[in-house]
Amino acid sequence: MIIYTLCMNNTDIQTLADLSRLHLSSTEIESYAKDFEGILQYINTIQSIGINQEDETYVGTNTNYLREDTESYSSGEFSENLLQAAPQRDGDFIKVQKIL
Amino acid sequence: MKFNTTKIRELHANLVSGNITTKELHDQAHKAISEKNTTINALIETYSEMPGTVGKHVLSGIPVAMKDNILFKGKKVSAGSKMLENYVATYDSKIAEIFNTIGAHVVGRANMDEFAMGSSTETSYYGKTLNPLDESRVPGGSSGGSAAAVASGMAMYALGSDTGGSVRQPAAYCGLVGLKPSYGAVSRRGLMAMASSLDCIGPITRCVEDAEIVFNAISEYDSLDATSVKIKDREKYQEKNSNKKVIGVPRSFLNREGLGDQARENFEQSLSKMKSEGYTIVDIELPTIEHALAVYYIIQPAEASSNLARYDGIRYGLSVEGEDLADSYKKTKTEGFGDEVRRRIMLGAHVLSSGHHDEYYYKAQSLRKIITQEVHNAFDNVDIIATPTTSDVAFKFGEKKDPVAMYLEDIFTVPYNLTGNPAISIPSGLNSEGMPYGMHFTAPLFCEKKLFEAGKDFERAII
Repeated sequence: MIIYTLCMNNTDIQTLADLSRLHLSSTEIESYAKDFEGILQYINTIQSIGINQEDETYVGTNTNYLREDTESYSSGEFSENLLQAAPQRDGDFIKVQKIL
Repeated sequence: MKFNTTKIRELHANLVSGNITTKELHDQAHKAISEKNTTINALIETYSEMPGTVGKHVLSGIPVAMKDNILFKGKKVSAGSKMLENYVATYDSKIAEIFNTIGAHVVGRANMDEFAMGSSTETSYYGKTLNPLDESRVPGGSSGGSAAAVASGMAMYALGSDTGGSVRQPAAYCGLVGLKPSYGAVSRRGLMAMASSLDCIGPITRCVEDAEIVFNAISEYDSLDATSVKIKDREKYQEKNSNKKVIGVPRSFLNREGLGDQARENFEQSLSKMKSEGYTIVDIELPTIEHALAVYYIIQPAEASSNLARYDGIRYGLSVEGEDLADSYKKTKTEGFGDEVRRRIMLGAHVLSSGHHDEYYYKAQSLRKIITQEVHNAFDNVDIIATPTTSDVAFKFGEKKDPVAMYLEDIFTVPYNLTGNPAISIPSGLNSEGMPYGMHFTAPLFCEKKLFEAGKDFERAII
């Protein structure tokens, strides 16, 4: 028998916040833990439904319409527009903090 | 010519004949904006550019409000979020291309729940929007600004986006028509992605005929949206387009889902009026549809958490510098995203996490398939599926504090985002306090024409 998560403690919420790259205060963590209890209780109602094997493997049937793999615009056509949106730039580069 | 007593076709005919000018319509919209927007807060930004002379297209020169998540190159667009407060669109959406070609006149960008997550337009960083019919009530959401702009005469029509009901529910709450087209009928290129397998762009208008006009204008195939369906492929579905006037009602679903007494009475009266228009009403069973909302609140946060990962403060949008790169990401997201967006990103992270994706995400995908099959099968015997749009009229501010209570707002609209079917909400009369109800019709895939036919019959029947 599988026991489904019906409540989340503060550590669980902290883990989700880390995964989502969010800083949460202890008050916020408490409040989200309470919200999650209600939400998980609601979405866990789907666990009561049995489904057959064929449906279990379902991954979706949408068709994507893709264009030919050719050059669709000329090099540099949009660069300046996009660079202008960057919070920090250095010439034709987007500037980021040191990674290593 | 007042927006609320005319139709788009009539307005355009009068523009062409010279009875009115595009400037007069522009002035009329801006008069309503200057009188009401400070209170209603339907528009985040208004555009003062004057319209050109009227063109041939029926939407040319007609004032329209645009939801704040559809890109027009060179214009600010923020999805109701602090994250994109100063973001300027770097390219045109397909909608912008169409609107520029036909000479549409955009009067401003409409307020919305942050990143389209909400059912009341209370989560916008730019303040809540009030319902023009009763300012103590919400306009619905997430396209609440779009609906309120039309309801208060700031625009003749508006565009919104509908991921779980975000066009139809605010239309119902503001006494307007709201259409969610078939998935794949309207290009989403340049619509900010929330949950990509569910998002649709649709119009909010004063009548069904206007919704049809706007839909016909925006439903072009777009080779730059991989989910846009080619016209010839849509035609394969349209053999079900002839209207034999049979309406199916999923009774047991309605009985379970907490419909208010007055709302139920309104719905039953609406059905009997359709009978008088020559429609046959039959009961249908959709056994799995009661789980649609739970399925939705797994798939939608999962997709939203992936889509919103792009807001990292590096390439565009808000950027808050921290001690190192990881800290900068965290500070940027924490400062840029509001409460509901954070909640759904974390919920998405939870349902996709390695310990839980089988029990949540994959199970939800399987159920989505079953629900879709049930709805598609139902159309073997009926032309239209009818439900109320919402369980009740627009609620008062602060009435729904619990997230689940807010999510339940979408119980009747969500199923058709999961299945892809087109659906429309049409005003169906008022309650004892003068607030409007909505009648919700769903049709087979790509059979919008059937919605418009039945919708016009309904409008005639309820006069």
